[in-house]
Amino acid sequence: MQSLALNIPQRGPTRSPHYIALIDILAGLLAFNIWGRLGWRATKRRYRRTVFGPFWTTVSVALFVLTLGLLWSNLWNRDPKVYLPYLTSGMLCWTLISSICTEACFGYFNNEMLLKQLRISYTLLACATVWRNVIVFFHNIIIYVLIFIYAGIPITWAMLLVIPGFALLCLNASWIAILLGAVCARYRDILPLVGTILQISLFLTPIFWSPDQLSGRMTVLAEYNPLYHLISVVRDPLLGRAPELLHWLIVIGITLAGWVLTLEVMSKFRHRIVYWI
Amino acid sequence: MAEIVLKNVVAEFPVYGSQLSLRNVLFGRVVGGVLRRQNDTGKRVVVRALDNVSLTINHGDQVGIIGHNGAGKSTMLRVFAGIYEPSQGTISIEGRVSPLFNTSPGLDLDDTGYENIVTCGLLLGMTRAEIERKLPEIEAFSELSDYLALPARTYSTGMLVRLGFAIATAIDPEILLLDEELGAGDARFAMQAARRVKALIDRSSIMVLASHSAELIGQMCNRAILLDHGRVVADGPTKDVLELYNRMNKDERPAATLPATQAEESGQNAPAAATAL
Repeated sequence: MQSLALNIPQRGPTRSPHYIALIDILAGLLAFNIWGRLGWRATKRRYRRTVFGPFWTTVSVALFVLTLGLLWSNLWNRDPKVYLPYLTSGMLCWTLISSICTEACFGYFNNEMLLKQLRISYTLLACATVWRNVIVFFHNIIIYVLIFIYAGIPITWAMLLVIPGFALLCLNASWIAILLGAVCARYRDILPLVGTILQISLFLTPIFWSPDQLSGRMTVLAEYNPLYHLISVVRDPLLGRAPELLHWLIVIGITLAGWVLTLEVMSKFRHRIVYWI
Repeated sequence: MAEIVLKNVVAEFPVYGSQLSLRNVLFGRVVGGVLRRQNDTGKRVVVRALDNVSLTINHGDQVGIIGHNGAGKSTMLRVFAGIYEPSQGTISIEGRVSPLFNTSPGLDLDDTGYENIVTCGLLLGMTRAEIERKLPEIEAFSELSDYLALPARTYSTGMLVRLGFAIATAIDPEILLLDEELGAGDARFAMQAARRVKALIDRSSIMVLASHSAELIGQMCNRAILLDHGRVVADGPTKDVLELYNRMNKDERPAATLPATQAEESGQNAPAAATAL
């Protein structure tokens, strides 16, 4: 499978575009030794000759969460021991998603040389982007651990649910990265648009506030917000409680729909992407 | 048995300009009228790089693709590699394709020589074990010794070429695609490089080399294909095709400054050349 990801079969009378797209996705996902290395090298490179390395992101997220958390828990009269863990776990998930989306937009341009030499799997490149950001996420987890100890959250079995939750989050990030790379290559206007949408999403998604604070029509901000459900399947276990069944169902639904969409788009446009970059 | 078969292949490049941005797609739909009329007058702009090419390359063939700048040599190699899929016609390939258009896919200046050997090796389709096995050979050929432990940023241009070349030529290809830019540094290295490329070619079942140098193709190939404006003008034993190429060069030199007449002339030359063989 490894060599398949670097040498996707060519289209022919016996090989439909769907088959090619499927090979691209499966071989790409399985080529973890290659995207693992690409992502790992990129992380190390980005922080070469710095003292704290990737922990700089951690420091900046930590400062953001601490100052905002302390200020807002005071403004809104909330117990910082409840508000800080909530804000931190939500911010960590959002940071992961938003940085993957931003970097995925450049995913294919930045690899132009590679894409013009090898019939390489686009999924592999998207996975490298996701993996690079997952590594940063694991650095940021240290903030959560400190806040967790400060707030004295009891350890529960439900916390184990963070594993399937996080896996689902990464699976979704992967198809989003595959699609965004392609769309941004074709339409250069999408890049700034993604940045703007992400920025607004930070405020419209229950991260700083919780959905029970909403009333009336505004409740749609939580109910119909896919980002809210995606974040919940990771955030709730981190806070020691099992996510509601509804969150799981919606997230699984998004995952399936997203991958089917990706398969369709890739089977239709995969052969065009190289002309766009 | 390795084999490449092209039937009536046409390769076209779309030219994307501002007129095809997202804004026009959106407004084209909303506003219709004016903008659509503008879009309709100019159809999608494409450059035809390969025009109705049919050929078969068999096991054991060492093919040189020759022609002027813009004749379609590199495009043809990339069609063989599956990078550009034909817009019309079919292509079928038996055997694993190893394209070497650029010696070092994934090379990063911030990584050390050793790190780059692993990354590039993986991307060129080698396994870790294979890279491990070939490492002494790559080390020896690159002649970089202690420099391999330093970041590639510290290398001179010549040293970078040596490193890329040493890695790229370590593969065991089945169908080898070479672009002429696989350049070599100083004269002594050029000789070593030629020997190493010869060994690489001997390990492959099919070799295709694109170049505008008649001398190079004369040395390396037993069959040559002459391209002009995306069409196959001649295909046969190297000696005959090169003779024709040299004749064509003499004929066309005065017209080179006038592109319009050049196109006309070559159009007349093409059928004559084909019958001459």
